[in-house]
Parts: sequence; C-alpha cells; structure tokens
Amino acid sequence: MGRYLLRRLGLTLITLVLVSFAVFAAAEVLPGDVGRTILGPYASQQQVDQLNHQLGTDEPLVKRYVTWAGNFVRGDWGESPIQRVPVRPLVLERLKNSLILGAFALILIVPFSVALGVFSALNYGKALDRIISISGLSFVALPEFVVGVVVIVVFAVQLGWFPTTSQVPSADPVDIVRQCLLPCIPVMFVLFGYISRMARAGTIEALRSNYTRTAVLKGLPQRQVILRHVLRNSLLPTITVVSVQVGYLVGGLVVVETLFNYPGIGQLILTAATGHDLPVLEASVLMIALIYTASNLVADVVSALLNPRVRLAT
Amino acid sequence: MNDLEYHLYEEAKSGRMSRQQLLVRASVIGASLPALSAILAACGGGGASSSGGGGGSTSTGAVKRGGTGVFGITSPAQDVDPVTMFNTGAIMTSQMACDYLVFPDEKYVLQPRLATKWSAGSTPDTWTFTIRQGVKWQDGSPFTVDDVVASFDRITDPKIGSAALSAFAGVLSKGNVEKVDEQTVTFHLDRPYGDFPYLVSAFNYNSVVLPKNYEIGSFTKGGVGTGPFILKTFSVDQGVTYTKNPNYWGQGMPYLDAAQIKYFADTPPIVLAIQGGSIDVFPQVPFQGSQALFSDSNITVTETPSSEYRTLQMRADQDPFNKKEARQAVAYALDRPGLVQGLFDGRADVGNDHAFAPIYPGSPTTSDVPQRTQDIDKAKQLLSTAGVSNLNVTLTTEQFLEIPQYAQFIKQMCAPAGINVTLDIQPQTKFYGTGANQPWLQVPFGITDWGARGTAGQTIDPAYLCRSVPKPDLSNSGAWNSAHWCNPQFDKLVQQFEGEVDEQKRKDLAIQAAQIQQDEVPDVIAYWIHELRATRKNVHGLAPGPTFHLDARAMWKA
Repeated sequence: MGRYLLRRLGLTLITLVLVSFAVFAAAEVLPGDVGRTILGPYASQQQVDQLNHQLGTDEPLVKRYVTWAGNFVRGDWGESPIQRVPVRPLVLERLKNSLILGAFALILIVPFSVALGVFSALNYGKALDRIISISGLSFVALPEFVVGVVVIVVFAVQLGWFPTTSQVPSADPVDIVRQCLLPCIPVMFVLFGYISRMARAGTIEALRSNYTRTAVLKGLPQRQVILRHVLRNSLLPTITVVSVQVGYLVGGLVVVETLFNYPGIGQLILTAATGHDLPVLEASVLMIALIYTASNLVADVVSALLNPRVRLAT
Repeated sequence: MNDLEYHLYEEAKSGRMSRQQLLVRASVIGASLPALSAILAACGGGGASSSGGGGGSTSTGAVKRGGTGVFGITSPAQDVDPVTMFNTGAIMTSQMACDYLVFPDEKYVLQPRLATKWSAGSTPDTWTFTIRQGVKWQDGSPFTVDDVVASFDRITDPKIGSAALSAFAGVLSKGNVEKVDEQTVTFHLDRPYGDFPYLVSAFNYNSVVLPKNYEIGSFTKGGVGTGPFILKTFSVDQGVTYTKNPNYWGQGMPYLDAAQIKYFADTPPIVLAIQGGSIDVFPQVPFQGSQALFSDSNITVTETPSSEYRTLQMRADQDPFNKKEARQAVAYALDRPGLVQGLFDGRADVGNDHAFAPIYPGSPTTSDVPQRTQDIDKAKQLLSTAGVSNLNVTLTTEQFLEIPQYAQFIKQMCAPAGINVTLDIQPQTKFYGTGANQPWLQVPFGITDWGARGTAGQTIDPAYLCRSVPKPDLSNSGAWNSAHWCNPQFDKLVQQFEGEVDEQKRKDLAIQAAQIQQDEVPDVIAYWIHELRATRKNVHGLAPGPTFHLDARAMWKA
C-alpha cells in the first residue's frame, strides 16, 4: 500500500508541474495584455508599454516562468497587477468559498444519486428504473443557467424563501443551507444523471456476477448481499467518476457563481484570464489542479482499500 | 447682465430657442439667478423653476431619513482610482464619495456643486469659477482653491495619464489653472470653448476634486472626498460600503445613513437581485437582458435620452468605401425605425448620420437636416454610380450588448441592395486589441460602441476630426477616428462651433457641419440609445440621470 501511495504522489507532483507549464504557455496566447486592461482603451500605447515594462510582462517567457515558479513554492505568490492585492489570500479565500459550495453539493447529491442508481439497478427494467434513468439524462441536458434562473425566479423572487444572491455562509448550518442550496441545484442536476447511471451500471454488473449468485444461494438476506458484496464492487467506477467531478465542482462553476454572484474561484479564473492577470490565473489554476489531483489520490486510495486487487498490484 | 446673459435674453425674446434649451445654455454660461429669471420670463415660461438643488423626482410626502441604499452595478474588475478610472463601475463608485465643480441634471442643466458661480471671460477661452466656502474634506481638513488647482494639474499631466487627457486635449493644458484668490479659480484654455463647464462636470468623469496631496491608488483605502458618503470598505469581489458624511456641505443631506454598492459580474444577477429586493437601485440598465424589469410592479424604470451610440464605420481611405456613394448606399439600406424597435423596443432615438445627438441642446433637428430613411432603390442606384453592382464586405465587430444583433440586421437589410455582408463577431478584448493591432481602428467595416458624452464636441472630436485619424502604427493616443475620414471644412466648422457663444451662429455652424457629415457618412449613426435606470418603488430622490451618473445625496427610502 505504501509503495502504491508513493508512486501516486510522485505522479501527482509531475502532473502539477506540467499543468503550470501549460497554463503559462496558454496565457501567452490569450488576446490582450495587462497594461491595456489596467489602463483601459483610452490610454496611449506608450503608457501601456510603460506599464507593461514596469510589471515585467515584456520579459521572455522562460525567465518569467522560472521567477514565478521559484517564488510560488516559497509561498510568495506575488501581487495582482489589476486588483492590486496580494494573490495568495485572494486565491485561497476564493478557493475556500468554492470548496464550501462544492462540498455542500457533493454531500447532498452523491448519497442520493448512488442510492437511486443502486435502487434502479435492483429494479432493472421496471418502470421506476426507466423513470430514474430518463430523468437523470434530461437533467444533465438542461443548461446550468436555465435551471439557475428558474430556481431564483421561483424560490427567491416569487416565493422569497431564499436570497437572490448568495454570500459565503457562516458556520451556522441553517445559513449554509440558505446560501448554498439554490446555487447547488443546477449543479446537482448535472451530477445526478451521471453518478446515478454509473452506480446503476456498476450495480447491474455486480448483481450478475458469480459471487453474488453464490451469496444469494448461500442463503444470505438480500440486504447483506447488497451491502457486503455487491456495493463494494459496483461502486468502484462510481468513485472514479465522483473524483473527476470534483475538478468541475471546484473550478468549473463559473456560470453558477456569476448568476448567484457567489465569490468563487471559477469566476476569479475567468476574470483573470480576460484581464491577463497572470499571477492570479496561474495560482488559481494550480490550486484547482492540486485539489483535483488530491481528490484523484483519495479516490485511488479508497479504491485500493475496497479492492485488494488494486493495492496488491505492483 | 453680462454679454452672454443678454444674448440669451434676446434669444428668449425672439422665441428661437425652447425653454429647455435656454435653461441648459444659461447653466453652461453660469447665468446669475436674476438674469436667469429675466431670460425665462422673456420666453413666457414664468419664473425660474427650482432646478437648483439635487434634482430628482419630486415625490409627495416628507423625506424619511435613515436606512441604507443598496446599488447593484457591474464590477470595475480592478482597483478604483478617480484619476485613472474609465469604466462605469469605477465612476459610480467614486461619485458616491467625491464631488465635481458642477453637476448636470438629467436634462443637462448644470447645477452648482463645489463651484457656486461661473462665467466666461470676454472670450470663451478663459472661464472663472467661484469656489464654495466652508466645505470640509471627509477627514475634517478644509477644502481650498489649492485643492482645485492641484486636481486639474493632476488630470492634465501627460505623465500621470489620466483618462481625462482625451477630454481636455487641445482645450486645457497642465499649469493653466490659476488661483486668483481664496475663492476664485480661472481656467486659461488653449482655445475658445463654449461648453467648457461641461468638462469640469460629471461628463468628464475624472474631474472630481481631490485633495492636493492625494496619492494615486489611495482612494479605495477610504475617507477621500468631499461627497455625501464616506467610503469605508472596498473589495473588488464584493463591493463597497459607505457611511453618511455628517459634515457634508449640502444642507441636511444625505438622507440615507449608509450606502452600499454590490459588484456583480454580469447583468442577469443584478436583474434578479433588484426583483428579489436585495438591491434598491440598478443605476445603469442595459436594455438587453432586463426586459423583465419593465413589467415588474415593484420596480420603476426611468428612461432618459442620451448620446450613447454605435458607429457603423466604413473606412473612407480604402476600397470599397473610399467612394462616398458606397457608404451612402449602406446608409440608405437600413430601416432605422425598425432597428430602434427591434433592438430596443423603441427605447432609442433614430439617428441621422451626424454626431449632433438629439439630447444636445441646439443640435440640428430633422427640419434642419432631413432625416435619412430607408430607400433600397436609391442604395442600388448609388452603388452603380460608384461602379459596383455587388459589394462583398466583412463586418467585424464585438460581442457586446445588442451589437451582434445589430450586425445581423445590417446583414439582412443590406442584402436586397446588393451588399453582401459576412459577419465576424469577436470577443471584446480581441476587437479592442492592443499595441499595433486594434481591429476597432483598422477594419474596413465595423461597429464600435461609444458611451454617452456631455457635449457635441466631446462626441465629435475623438471620432471625426482629421487630427483624430489613427496613424498606421496606432501610436497617436486619443485618435479614434475609425473611419479614417478627413474633411478640413468639417474640422473648421466644428472648431468654430466649439468656440462660438452666439446661439444662432452656433446653430448654423452645427447645421453646416451636420450636413457635411451626413452627406459624407463616414459612419452610419442609426440610433441614439436611451439610458435606463431601475429603482424599487420605495426609492425616492434619486435623479434619473444624466446617463449613469450617480447623485444619491437626496435619495431616501420610504
């Protein structure tokens, strides 16, 4: 197990380094430049060039990358040239906000989707199974901003049960629900179909296998069969799927964050990309990559714990 | 009465100018109250109406003090500094805490603020302003004429690079603001400019008066300004909080105890927020995406005409539009009332291909310069005069508000005239570009958005003069004549117009200039957009304009 972990950690580090290269290179290709964004369309080109020189954006790519990377690992993430605040507290704060939202969505939707997926596998072919599958697919097809707007109009504007814009909740659980429930609904619509289908497929396959038949023939009650034998095997692909979704949950909620005016990291990345705010862009993307690879690592460990074949393989 | 006041008095007696026009022009020349009364009496309109004070909707019932006013605006996306700001989010953020010398109401009548009186010298190349006494900065120190001089030196300094440089180009240079005494300041202009007071008003948004020791970048730390609200906290993410300025020079104002600006990334969340009641005011409402507000019974939407417009620019120095007939053909192909209806549901004025927007008092009307209307046959005829029967052009523009739809309409409307338009809609940052690559200044056929400006001169100078033609390497700043059109006769007329104070001569010059511009049509100007402002029904005292400029000192909530 230990060797497995070490290998995964090593791969994670390499991934992160490669991601940082990729973002730096990609940012070069983005249209526009920092100086122009800060000074606006009415400033003279001379002023823009001067500012760019001051900010050091006209230096060669490799030099900039090396300086930045060196500082980054030491904890100095620089200052945003556009917002004129230090990058680290800004990015970490936004990341925290997104994690709260993402965690809330995950906690609500994963057990629910998995349960429904297993349930529909158990009722394979019957009406309930079809209803769950079809509605899952339909929900995925609905764009987030459509669901988001409908949800706000109905629950916030007309019924007034929730606020129209969501702030970062305090630790109070009631407040968490109040602020996070509406933004999570579009997200949950997207996740539900995907996770429940994976759970359903995995469970069907596990149900058909020899060991399940043996367990049933041995006389074990159905509940025990499911909990002890079927689930451990059927959920393996589902765990992988969930860990992939974590990346989306943390950094991909730009639409939801914009609609609900929630200060998350997805929106920060969008603004940083359009404004050519490289320190913020780099740091944010790297942090999301970190969270994503960490969640992959956790998923792999859970897989390994559940499935001895994985952890004992070299 | 001085000369200028007497001149307006004569105009009033002759009935050549409407009451509204007289009010505006009187405010620009700084007519004294007795003179103003005489002028208005002469036009038969009765005594001077109380256009002094903060303006705003006259509401029935007593003012209720207290409460917090919450505004929802799009985030400036960067730190805010009044000297360098250029986007509306930043401008509104500053206007809560800072004052100008004068402030236009929604009808463009100038109201005194930090200046109590103003007048032109014997020629309009000097302007003298009397500065209000007894005003304190928000930190308690006294406001003096030295602060005024320092503020204007700062924003006319090319090294500092304020966005105001483009407004003052050729009009006011650094070092020409003279402190006459503790109460008076005189501006010595580079050339006669009859509309100068507008350039020290909100229409030149960087011209807020700041302390003489002001350090650029310190505004968002709070407590800077003489305005009704003191900035307390600022966050580019969330927004801004203000508290009431107890030492504000405006008698009894502000009525609110506190104010808050919430920053949003886009329009739909602000629309939803005002519908849900979490914000009170949505000061700058783009028509696109806000239609739900018009039918909401809890919300009042005010509409004011403005000089916000789009240029459908055609490069006059290149094929195919170097022939005037080709440009005119495009102009005749468009159904302007149809555009106003289709893009804005009627909330815009029809444009007549000249830059004297209807909102500017004294602009030529359609009786002076006949309205151009759609005429496909004429368009075809013009094309054949130009020697082409089928024109293939690419229209390049930006993804912004209604512009992509406008481009679609243009494509459809030009087709029957034999003009085949291919669309190239780019993201805004790409369209504006940077360095030597700025498509908005270079494409042969494009649409650019222009914000509202306070005077015809401000609209014309950067876009239509010979000196505003961009150089090939785009090194000249403030040169935004994207059609690369140069007509020396037009330039001369505009220059004379800007320096002229005789109202009839001004009007004649404007008509002549408009006729030239309409004939040559470097840019098709099809509409002038109305600015919209949404408030919840319980909000009173907030002026509906002008355009997006915020004056919340008389605002109160029922």
